[in-house]
Amino acid sequence: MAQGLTFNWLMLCSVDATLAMFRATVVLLAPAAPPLVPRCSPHPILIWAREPPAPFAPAPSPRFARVSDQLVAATNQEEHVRVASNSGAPPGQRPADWCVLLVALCWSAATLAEADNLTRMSLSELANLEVTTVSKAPDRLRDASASIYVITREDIQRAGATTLPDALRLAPNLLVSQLSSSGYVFAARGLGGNTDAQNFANKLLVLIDGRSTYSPLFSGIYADANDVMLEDVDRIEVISGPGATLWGANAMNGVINVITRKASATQGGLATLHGGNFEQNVAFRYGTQIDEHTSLRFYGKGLRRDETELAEGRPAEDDWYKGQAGFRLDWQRGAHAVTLLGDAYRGVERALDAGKGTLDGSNVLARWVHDTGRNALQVQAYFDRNARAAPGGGLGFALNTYDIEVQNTISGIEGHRLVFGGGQRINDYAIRNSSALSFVPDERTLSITNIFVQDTLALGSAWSLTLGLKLEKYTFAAWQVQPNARLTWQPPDYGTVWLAASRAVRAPTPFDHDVVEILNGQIFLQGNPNFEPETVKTLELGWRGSPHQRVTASVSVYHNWYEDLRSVEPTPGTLIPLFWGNGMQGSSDGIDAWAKVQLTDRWRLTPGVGVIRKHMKFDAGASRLLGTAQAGNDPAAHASLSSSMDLSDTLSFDSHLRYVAAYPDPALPHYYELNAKLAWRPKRYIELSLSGFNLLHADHREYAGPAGENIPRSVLAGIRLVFE
Amino acid sequence: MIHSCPAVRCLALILVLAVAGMYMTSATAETESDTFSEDQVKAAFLLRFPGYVDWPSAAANDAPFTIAVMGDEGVAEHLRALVRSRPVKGREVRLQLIDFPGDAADAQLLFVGRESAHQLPAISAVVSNKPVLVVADVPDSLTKGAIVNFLRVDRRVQFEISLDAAEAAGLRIMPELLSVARRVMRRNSRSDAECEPLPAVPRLMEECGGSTYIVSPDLPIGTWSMSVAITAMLD
Repeated sequence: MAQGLTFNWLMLCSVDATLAMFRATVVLLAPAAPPLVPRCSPHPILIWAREPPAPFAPAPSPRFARVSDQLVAATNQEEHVRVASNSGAPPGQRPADWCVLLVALCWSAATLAEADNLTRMSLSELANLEVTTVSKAPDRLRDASASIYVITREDIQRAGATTLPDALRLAPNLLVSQLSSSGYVFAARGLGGNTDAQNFANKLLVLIDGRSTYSPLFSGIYADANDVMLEDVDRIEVISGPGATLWGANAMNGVINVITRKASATQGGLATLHGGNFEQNVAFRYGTQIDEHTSLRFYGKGLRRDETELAEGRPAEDDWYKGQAGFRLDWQRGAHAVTLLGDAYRGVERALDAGKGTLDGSNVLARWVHDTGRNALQVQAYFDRNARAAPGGGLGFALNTYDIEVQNTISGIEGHRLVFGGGQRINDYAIRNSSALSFVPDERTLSITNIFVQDTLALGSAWSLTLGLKLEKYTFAAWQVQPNARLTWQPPDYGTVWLAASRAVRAPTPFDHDVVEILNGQIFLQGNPNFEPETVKTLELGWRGSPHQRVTASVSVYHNWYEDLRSVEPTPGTLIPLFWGNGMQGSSDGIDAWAKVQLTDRWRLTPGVGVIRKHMKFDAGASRLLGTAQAGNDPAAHASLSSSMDLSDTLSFDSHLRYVAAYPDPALPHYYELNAKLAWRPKRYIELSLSGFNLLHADHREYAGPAGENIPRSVLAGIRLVFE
Repeated sequence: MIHSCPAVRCLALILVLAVAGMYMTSATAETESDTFSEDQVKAAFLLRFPGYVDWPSAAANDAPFTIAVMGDEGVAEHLRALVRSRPVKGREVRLQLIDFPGDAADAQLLFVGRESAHQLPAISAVVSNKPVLVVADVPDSLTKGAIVNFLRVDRRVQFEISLDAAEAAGLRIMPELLSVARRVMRRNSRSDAECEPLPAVPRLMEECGGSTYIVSPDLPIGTWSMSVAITAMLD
């Protein structure tokens, strides 16, 4: 793998906090070009190349030379670049396309003066100073016209979650089901998949720091591959309902938005170590400040989990381990902010009667934000590579994603908040087919292009109207229109009432389009080149408010109309091969509700409930094979109750009780489960904890069908150390 | 393998140039010098406050002056940038970002941002009767244990002060700081009869007896010394 690495370089140098931002230079760079080193320049320089200049000078070295002059030389080398990058190894083993995004950070003595001005002012001068950037993140959430639940870092730590899926259990508007030692399924507002029909939980968008992590191969989420350093998470926003207009592709039934803290907020060292009967893990982080404007952190974590049991009691041989490391660099000066972050991971998972499979991946993301308070421009680019290989030469893939997005928010126009932008994503993959399951063709390049605009109009003091429209083009589908309209009413002292109508789609994937399944030497099932996007139109009504000083609450009701849901159709006459159709439609109604109740100064309860009723039916002419249950094997209700209690200044006790109603088809009885954590923090620097997961049963199943294993009760003892 | 990168590159070019062009037309008139964000101004205030507050002598020594921040990383970031070059009360500043109320007990100054609003009751339980200057950015926080609370008035960052909370913490707030505050709150223990002289300055006193707010609804900042003088008179 190490040989033949090709690199993409994106260098973004945003240099001068003054007017200089209004010009940008884009430079394409070739492998033979001299080492690239942008010095402080009066305008940002964006450099993109296929291969790294010889000596790799790690960021943030200021010793870079000006590159604009090399534009001509660079374009002459285009040809060479293309040839070099085509000479790859065979599919599945071809050279990893790495994308290294490097930010050259430049500063000058002038920046010190800026801070000095502020500290030299008198108190009266400070109090009379007009500020430009009004911090708005918390306001935006309170005013958001959507069903949003925010999981805070405090919640995650108090719950003792060690992986992202465990943390997601804390959102009452999300149903998280653990399938196996490493496998989880997430569903918001139902349609959580049905493995009997090879239908996956594929209607959610999961973003980690702005990077999309659902797999474009089948629109589902690999819960084991996408993890973060939970100690560094700022918050996780879980939005139930369509969010396609702003958030993008696949945001059909919900969006999970994981946001990590800025590097400046994670200074110093931190180490955690946990051991228990089912899991052992270790994690560390170290953050440092490079200069007045620049902070950096890096982290590493390792996790090992035991095997679960098959439903009939035999060991499931699904134990696994994984290591992950990453970094985040933040630079901020005045209205400019640049973020550069990346992760890499590798894991080994055993599969029943098959041996060990692997997963690995890496990603790097660069984001530049210029926010004057009236106008915020954000440019973001990322590269993501991930690969999996089933044991014994079975099914595997390698997938590269290139993504660039631009978004501009104008809030300087009286009575309007206008957001517009666009983006392009390329997914480039190669699949190693197995004898039973293959993709034809086995490699492709997929593209998603989008443009969007959304305006929020203030209608008097209490009313506002948001109108948005996204146009999105997929490789396997025509341009899709994804609009939304949201009317918000904020009467004084009565919280926020909102009404929303929106449309979103799940785009066809290679699994819908290209798949070929072979059973006993015969083609059993085949993808459908004419497969259409699955669509939803949603009407929602919600309220969020604080009925009592110690209570905040949110309730939303919704009605979804689904069309063109995937169905299984037979070949006339011969029955097989079966193929995918769009022969199902229907509707669902439901409620998401939760509250946060501060019972006493030291005891908080968070009850939540989700209820759903579905009415699915087949189109005229559809085969009705496998029944309407294939749209999603969804429990009619799920509920949770979190309790956060401070027993003293140093001792805390947290518990999370959850209830999931019976799964209808395939059937699984309802269950209750309980997680709890007792933590003792004698000093700020040390925490000792004892956590228990799934305490109510020796083992239990959370997912119906053969994929759902017996998940055991587990306990975990841990220590958390903080170094200055 | 169909090579993808040229497409991305082209798009990147187009997008970046489009955005750059848009910026040239939309924002050229703007000057960014001498403008500060709300977070920067709050950070600057936080560094100035200690200069106008007397801590009990036991708390003052040559150990670093500890500022703890909870629930506002934006302000923390600017603080970090500002403290590098500035000692506070002649002491080196140590900045701590904390997540748990229990960690606030050792700090001299604690800033509680909006994201930690729900933790105010727990915080005030931890720091009660300890000499910690609790500064909050949470509406109505003066009734929940904060000593100073930031207010957003038009496009300005101002603050209000609870003298009772300061007294409970054993902190003395100097008149210079009170005079810049948008409003100062104190519980008046005097009887209604003793309040008699106050109607002479009706704009400064909303209530007398029980919980009393001294409010300056429209007075410009700086004309406040007068009310401080009156407060001192009452004492």
